[in-house]
Amino acid sequence: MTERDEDRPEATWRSLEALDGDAGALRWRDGEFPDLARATATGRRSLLKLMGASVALAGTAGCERLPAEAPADPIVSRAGATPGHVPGEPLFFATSLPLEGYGRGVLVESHEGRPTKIEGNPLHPASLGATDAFAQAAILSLYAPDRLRAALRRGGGRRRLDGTLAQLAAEFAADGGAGLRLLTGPVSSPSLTAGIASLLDRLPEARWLQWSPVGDGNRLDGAALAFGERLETRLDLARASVIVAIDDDPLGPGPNQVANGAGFIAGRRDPARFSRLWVFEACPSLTGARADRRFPVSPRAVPAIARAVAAALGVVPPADDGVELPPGLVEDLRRAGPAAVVTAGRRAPPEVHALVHAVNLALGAVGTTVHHTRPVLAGAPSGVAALAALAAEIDAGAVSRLVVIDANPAYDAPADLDLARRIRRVPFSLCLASRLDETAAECLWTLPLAHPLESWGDLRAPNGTVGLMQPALAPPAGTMTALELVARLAGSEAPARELVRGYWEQAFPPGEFEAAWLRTLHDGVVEGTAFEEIPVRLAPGWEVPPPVPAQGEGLTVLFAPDPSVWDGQFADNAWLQELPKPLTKLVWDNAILIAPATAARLGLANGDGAVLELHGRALEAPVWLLPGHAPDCVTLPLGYGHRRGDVARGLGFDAYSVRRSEAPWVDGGAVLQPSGRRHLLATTQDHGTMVGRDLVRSVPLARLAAMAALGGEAGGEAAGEEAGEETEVAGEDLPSIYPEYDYSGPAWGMAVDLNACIGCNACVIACQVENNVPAVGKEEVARGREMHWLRIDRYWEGDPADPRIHFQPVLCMHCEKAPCEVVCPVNATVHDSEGLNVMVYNRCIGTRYCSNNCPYKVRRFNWFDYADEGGRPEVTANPDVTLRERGVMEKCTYCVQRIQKARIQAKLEDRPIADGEVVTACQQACPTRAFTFGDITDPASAVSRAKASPLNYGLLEELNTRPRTTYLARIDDPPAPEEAS
Amino acid sequence: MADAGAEAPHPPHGAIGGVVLRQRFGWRWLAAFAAAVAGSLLFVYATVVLVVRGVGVWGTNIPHVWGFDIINYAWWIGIANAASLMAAAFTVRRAPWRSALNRFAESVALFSVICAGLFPILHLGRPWLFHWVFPYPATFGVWPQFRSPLVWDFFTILTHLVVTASFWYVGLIPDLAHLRDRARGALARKVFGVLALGWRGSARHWRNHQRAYHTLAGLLVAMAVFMQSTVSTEFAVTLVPEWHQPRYPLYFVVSGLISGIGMVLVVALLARHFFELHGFITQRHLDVVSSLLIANAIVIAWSYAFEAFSSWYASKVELQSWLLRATGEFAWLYWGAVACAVLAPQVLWWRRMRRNVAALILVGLLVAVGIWLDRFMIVVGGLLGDYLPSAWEGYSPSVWEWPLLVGSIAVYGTLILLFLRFVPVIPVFEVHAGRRDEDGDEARDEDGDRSGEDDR
Repeated sequence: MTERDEDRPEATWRSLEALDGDAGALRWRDGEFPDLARATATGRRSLLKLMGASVALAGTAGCERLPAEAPADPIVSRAGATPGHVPGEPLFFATSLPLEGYGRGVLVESHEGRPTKIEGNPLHPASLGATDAFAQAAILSLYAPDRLRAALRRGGGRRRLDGTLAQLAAEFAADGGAGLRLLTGPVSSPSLTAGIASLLDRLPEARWLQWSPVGDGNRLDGAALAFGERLETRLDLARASVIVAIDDDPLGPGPNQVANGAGFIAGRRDPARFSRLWVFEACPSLTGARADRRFPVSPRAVPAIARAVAAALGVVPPADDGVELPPGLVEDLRRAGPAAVVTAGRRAPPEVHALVHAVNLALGAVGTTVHHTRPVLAGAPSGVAALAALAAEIDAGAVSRLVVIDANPAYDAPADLDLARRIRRVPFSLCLASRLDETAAECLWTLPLAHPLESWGDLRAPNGTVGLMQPALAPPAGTMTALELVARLAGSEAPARELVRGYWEQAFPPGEFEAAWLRTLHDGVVEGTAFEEIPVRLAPGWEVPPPVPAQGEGLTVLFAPDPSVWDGQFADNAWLQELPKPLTKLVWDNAILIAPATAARLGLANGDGAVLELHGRALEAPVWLLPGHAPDCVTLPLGYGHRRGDVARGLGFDAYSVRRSEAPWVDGGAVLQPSGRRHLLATTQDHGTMVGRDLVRSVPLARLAAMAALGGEAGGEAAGEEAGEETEVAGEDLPSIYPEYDYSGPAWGMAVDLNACIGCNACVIACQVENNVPAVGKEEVARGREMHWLRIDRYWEGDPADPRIHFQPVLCMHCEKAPCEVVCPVNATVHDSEGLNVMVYNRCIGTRYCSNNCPYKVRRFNWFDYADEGGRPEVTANPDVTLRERGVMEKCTYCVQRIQKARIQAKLEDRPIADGEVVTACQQACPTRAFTFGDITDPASAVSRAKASPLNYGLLEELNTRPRTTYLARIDDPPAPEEAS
Repeated sequence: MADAGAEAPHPPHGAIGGVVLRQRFGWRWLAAFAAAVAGSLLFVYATVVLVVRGVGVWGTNIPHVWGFDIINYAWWIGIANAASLMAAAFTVRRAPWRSALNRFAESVALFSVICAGLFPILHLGRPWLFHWVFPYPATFGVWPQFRSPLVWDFFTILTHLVVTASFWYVGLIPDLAHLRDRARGALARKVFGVLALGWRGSARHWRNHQRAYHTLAGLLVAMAVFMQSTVSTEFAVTLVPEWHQPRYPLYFVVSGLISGIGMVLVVALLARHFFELHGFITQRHLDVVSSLLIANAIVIAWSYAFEAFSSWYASKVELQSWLLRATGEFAWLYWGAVACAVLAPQVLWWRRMRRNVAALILVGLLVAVGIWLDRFMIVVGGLLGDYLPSAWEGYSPSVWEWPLLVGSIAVYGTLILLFLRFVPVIPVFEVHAGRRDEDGDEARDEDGDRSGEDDR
């Protein structure tokens, strides 16, 4: 591409002539997609139309490069797949997706060159075959309607960027990169790190810094305090028998979520060695939801708690601050020894991390449950300090050139740094971004960034293993990757594929490269690149860090990444926006999270507007009462309140606008007052308690042993008795007036292990992507019309100040005696020969009676033409699943298209469908393997074995619906009564 | 209108037939008709919006998949069934005083069932496919699912329409002949002549007519009860805790009945006022209707009480569900229904109230409103306490649901106004015959208030 660019610059950047900066860009976009531009200012219906406009964009993706510009490079697909490829059959590409710089290995399912679904890569250590919610939604970002497709210049000008880039490289080289600052997101990529290193070699005056608003740098700084060097910390929760999380959320979203979730649940499957989880936190998290003992504490108490734990274990001398640890904690840690683990989160200051590292070392946990390796992310300065230094340099006039790559500091930097204004003051600024985001709007030049699914590259997993990035489709002309831009600035014209390949050519032994490269492309991971564990000991000058002073009086504020849009980078993704946040169940919005008691004291209710004043800055936002939140502090979820972006703009409030660089995570001295406004917040679950009903069952660990002794049947009863006051007769024992079905082949069924569910939402969005489920927008969700076929019910139990938190994935139960079937007047929902309750869309006339008679309320109705209006660009649709028209009912099908696929394969090979051959989308995405699916007529199948467990129960089975989806009761380890007192 | 009675004080033929035959539309009628037609156009507009944009224009959601569509349907069908039942029962019992009320009841029934029948079609996600509920030999093999109460309902509405229309029309034949004979214009003579089916009033005609009329009435008594019960199965056969109750069929019959009686009373009193029919609709009729209202209200009170008891008795889920209905977000509906349908008719214990036309009309309307609230409470309130609390959700009607309610009332009003103008509102032949019969009964009529008639 680049050579050709040289030859015909006007061909490559021809659109630039029409572009004179922001206004010009908008005009260009208006000209090409007038509806799209008009739509941006208005509400939901328009939003949906807008999403529909992506179809137009996507449709042109294939013919993006005109013949004259066509690259010489073929897109290399998974080795071996293409020769036997049958048109119509999907291809799978192994690649990696970045989050906080770390790689998450995925397989991209691609139909005729269109990626339609993302699955985990079983060979990748951060995936193990599963994915998180962000990865599932990556496909929609690919078709974001406001993606940049050409270079932009702020305020006009007629220069060709192509010339500018070449010029730039020369200019930079001429004065050694004086005044050049390179600001990137967190970087783990070996090739990019090498590329930047060689750029910096060429330009000795230039400096590189990394910025992430939600980086985990404190953990590494803590290691520097404790061990004398910055080290990566990785947890192995599978081997832990006692886990103490101090304001940490290892099960929550983040680059480690999948591996941590899998490990944690692995340590809780066997009642004989069942880990115990202690959690101290202010804002309920996914980890807190699974805690056996959870303590809502203010973040100000965190340093003292860490210190008290350390002191109790003899790591530091006891402090005289009156902190009392809950009984049993220290004994647990001592008893577990090397099988214990203490962890602190990104909000905790380095001093707390240092204490935690020292505690783990003292426990002997390092090497078993805690692993230290060299840092995965590049060593360039990072964090708030680096950014503050940059701001100071800009003020001093020391920065004459700024290159921002895949970071958005103008939006997400602490408010006092005011980078939006400062970036504008830099004489030359260049930004590589996927959208015209807040930073791009301030930079002189903006270049379009290729989507990860269009990019060549490599990323390291948290354990160091390199995962390769390879494109699943050709990037639109003009886009480039970070690696390419860095190379261009260094004067190289090589395309990204050559750069990546070139880097790894050196890394492999000569002669073996071709075979190794092909295998790497196939597997998606580079073998043997995991980091060695580094033995640690306390640094010689180790001193007990001074306790961190609490800042200010008044309300404490803590900042948190949002579970759906993270730091804001996913805010333009409608699927993630509509993904109910695990605990609040809010969609399309963030809110000030506050304890019910504190809200009552301030006279605030859900959706009430409040003004938050924090050290001279203020914001107005709705509050949301979150049971289990620590009193007298509030949580501000980051990632909303964008000022740019067609989807993201105007949603929620911008918590960055009150974040200070001196207290980026926990701040004191806030004042919260009702503003008198009311906000519309859309939630998918209005009612949070089980009102005493027997819906989510759990069994205390202590009782489980007794149950096992009683044996299967009796055990089942015990499980029921434990949970609900009155367990009625199980379905099988009740008579029915309808005849029994006779199954000659398989009869499908599912077991959902509530003990394994961490509430991470991966299944919800996996189901949405697989089954072409549309996003409907905030107003429709507020009306109660969300379309998710699979939802996760969250229930609070007990005291709102400190409740137990339950998750229950609810999908169609495929009842054997389905109440929906008998009320449909036109036979549109019927039982099939394999026990599925199937929905015949084109027979449905839309009486909605079936939904009325469904006690699980899992049916969804197309109130409008959601499929056609957008919600999802048609090009991303799974071609194996029908798009539903307006006025018909739909619901979970047990991924019937996957069953069909397996059946066809089995028939071709003249054999029955094997157990485990059919994997539903939810099952495949689940990091903790909570779903088991298969043939329930085969007693040897995994699902039959699961259903034989004494923990198995059917939801509302007393209604005699005989659900085929059953649940395995959650196992809990609550404090014994004497312990609690 | 006043002149209708004034010109021909005796015999009644002149008074009733005259309304129809002398097309002197008073301004009040015209104004009412214009308002009704405007309301009907609103209904048409709301329907067009509904069909073009989809049922999403309503405030319905999951779990409240039904809103005003089914509320209105259940309300209208209740009125229809009750009015039919009332007319048919009077006929079967050969109640001597029935004739003045019968045709009002029949007409209210017919027009209500027309209004009711619109909603099950409009409420569909794809209304243009409503005929799939009908068993016909479609080439693509679609066939109704006969276990579904919606299929039963479909046949119920169809049957109701056919039988009620037949009953109404058969009862009308002698009067149409009467109009034919008295009509002055050639066109009117022709139209009434065709509609009268060659009625000459021979003894054989009378015998056949009475047989047919009474047979239909007998059928209608049984069917009104049966049909109203069928509507209730739409709720009673489901799993929804507040719907799955054995009291429903009886409850629907009784609550429908009271709304139908209320509606007949209102229409009859308005007609009496504007057409000076005091000679035909007497205090005796009003007393009978008042007694029926009171009796029904008592049965409804019992039904509410039984519901509370059975919810408490049945299970915790049903009790919670009932409590949510009676004390939750929609409690005003529950208590509104109690106030309007149970308490309001109790004022009719007082004779003064029974003689006060305004009070009677108010009670009649309140009862109709009360039963509408009751239907709202059933359709929406029933789902408030469903099995999974996670699915609990609110419902509020959108701006496109109100026009359907108002518009359907307007359609009904249009039909009633046309009826008042073009059809003898009281069976001429029966009044004639009844007058002969009642002359002998006069002594037994304790509260006989014939003054209105005698004055003339």
